[in-house]
Amino acid sequence: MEPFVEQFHTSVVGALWPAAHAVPGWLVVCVGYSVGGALCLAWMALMAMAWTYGERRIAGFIQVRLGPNRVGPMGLLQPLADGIKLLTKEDVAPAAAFKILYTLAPLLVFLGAFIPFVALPFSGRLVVANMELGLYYVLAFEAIEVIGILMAGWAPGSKWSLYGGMRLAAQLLSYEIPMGLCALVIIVLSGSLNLAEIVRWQAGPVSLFGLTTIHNPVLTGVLGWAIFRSPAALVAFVIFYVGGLAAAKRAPFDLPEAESELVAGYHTEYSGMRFAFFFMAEYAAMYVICALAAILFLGGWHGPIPRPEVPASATLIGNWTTYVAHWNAAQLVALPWWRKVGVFSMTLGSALLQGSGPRILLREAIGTLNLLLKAFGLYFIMIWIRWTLPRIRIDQVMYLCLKVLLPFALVCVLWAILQAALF
Amino acid sequence: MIRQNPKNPLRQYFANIWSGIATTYIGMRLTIRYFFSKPVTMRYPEVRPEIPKGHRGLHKLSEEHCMVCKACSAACPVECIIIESIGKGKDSMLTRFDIDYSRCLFCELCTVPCPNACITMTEAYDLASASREACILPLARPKSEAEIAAHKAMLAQKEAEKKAKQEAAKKETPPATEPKPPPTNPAPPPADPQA
Repeated sequence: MEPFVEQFHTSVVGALWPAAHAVPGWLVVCVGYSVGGALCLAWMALMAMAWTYGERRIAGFIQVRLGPNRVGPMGLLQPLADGIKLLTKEDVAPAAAFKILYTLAPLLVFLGAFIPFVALPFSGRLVVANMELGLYYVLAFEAIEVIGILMAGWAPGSKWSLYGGMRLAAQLLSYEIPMGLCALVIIVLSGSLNLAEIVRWQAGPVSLFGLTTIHNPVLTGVLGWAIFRSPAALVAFVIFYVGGLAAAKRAPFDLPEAESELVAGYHTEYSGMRFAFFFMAEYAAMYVICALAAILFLGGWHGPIPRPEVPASATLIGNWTTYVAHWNAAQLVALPWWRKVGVFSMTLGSALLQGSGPRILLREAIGTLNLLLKAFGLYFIMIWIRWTLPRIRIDQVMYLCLKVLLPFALVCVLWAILQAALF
Repeated sequence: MIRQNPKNPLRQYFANIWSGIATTYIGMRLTIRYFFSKPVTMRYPEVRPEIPKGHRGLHKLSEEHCMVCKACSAACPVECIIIESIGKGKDSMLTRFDIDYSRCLFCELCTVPCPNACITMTEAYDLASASREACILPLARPKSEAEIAAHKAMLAQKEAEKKAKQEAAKKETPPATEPKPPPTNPAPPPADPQA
């Protein structure tokens, strides 16, 4: 993002308003990241709202009923109605609550769910922060939630909350280990922690048992996925997904909020908007897990739909700066502000519609579509699992993590290391 | 379920994992089948369920056949039928025929004694109302003040005619009332629903 922001600032804005050059670089980068963060926040809120509706609708169909269908066409405005309801609810805090932690907890949980969105790419070029340590960053900040939920469990002074918080801490910390090991499988195989780099590795030529090599981009679009490149990655994908279910507190691992025994677990004592924060964080975290699984194991934006080829050097902002450079600089500066806006939008339109602009747009759009298809498919399976399996006991949760997933994940890592070293 | 097998723990370990995968598969197959099956939900206010014949719902009164005998009211075990009328017999006019559905049993006993079968039970089942007062449903057509006044005037006129006739008969044959009893009684006989 940073070169993009600076190029935009110096070449496009700087050509139109030379005073913009005087703005310090850090401020430009701050504004750029704020815009990116706001977009991520919007996407997170959209995911949370859309999937609360999706979950209720899918649950309805699985239970041979309709689900919400009264508010708006097909009940599509139901999440909005829920949002209004939550906003207008009374904000009740228990008298025994430790106010500072009680107030801070939902924000921290929300933050833990939101921060990973910044590093999650939608497509090769569509990412707010393309970090070298992207995978590490996402997994690390997913774990912030644990602190928030422990706070939410302890602060209200309710036994249900405390039980929920303790269970969640035990569960989340245990399942981090197999999840991390499964990510390690991909890191070893691809040799990178950068999410875009991992996806690029999955698009490379596929060697079939060392006999032949496939270069056809349509075939490698599917056969190049990590789960088809190595059996270790296939098993790791399943383990990562199960660990993700536990990390997102989804059934059958929903002990922290087990509504039939703990009322609502760690968010028992929260109402109104505070509760909405927990709720949004849960659905957003589910999306993060699904998108991450799709990026790591299912080829990310190299999907079943082939994308048009674009030279790696071609960028939209590069086109834009060349179009702006065609204008006479002295003439540009003298224009009144409304004509400057006209030049800004005209050059933007040229960049989008001429040269390699449309191809880049199409490539990114199809890439996003591919990624969302896979992520939403995994999301659907999460919901499907929730409405199929009953909740398991805490000892069974621990058994599954430490005695089943962990040994298998270790074997996968060993296999991946051998595969990376020998082939 | 995690089974224990002290003889061969390793084999049992893998058997447990396999049974976990297999049972999950069976469950997921079942739910996805339900997911694609047709929902059984009836979209109630738009789509109405078919009510079986003989359902005892709201009452229906065909007012033109009612002769205000009050047999239904007498038969009601919970006394939820309130009838008010003006006049008697053929000249009677129903001013009030209310059924208090907060008390009604839907026992259908009111329909049995009705000589003209003018009170019957329909298949209407949506009886919800917002208040206790709204539970009392008027079944008779509401009468305007003018109508009631006209009916009263008609009754008074008939009464007057009757009286005039009686007096005329008295004057005509004051000594011989015995031989001619039928003409002395030209007014309609009092209403007797059992007759």
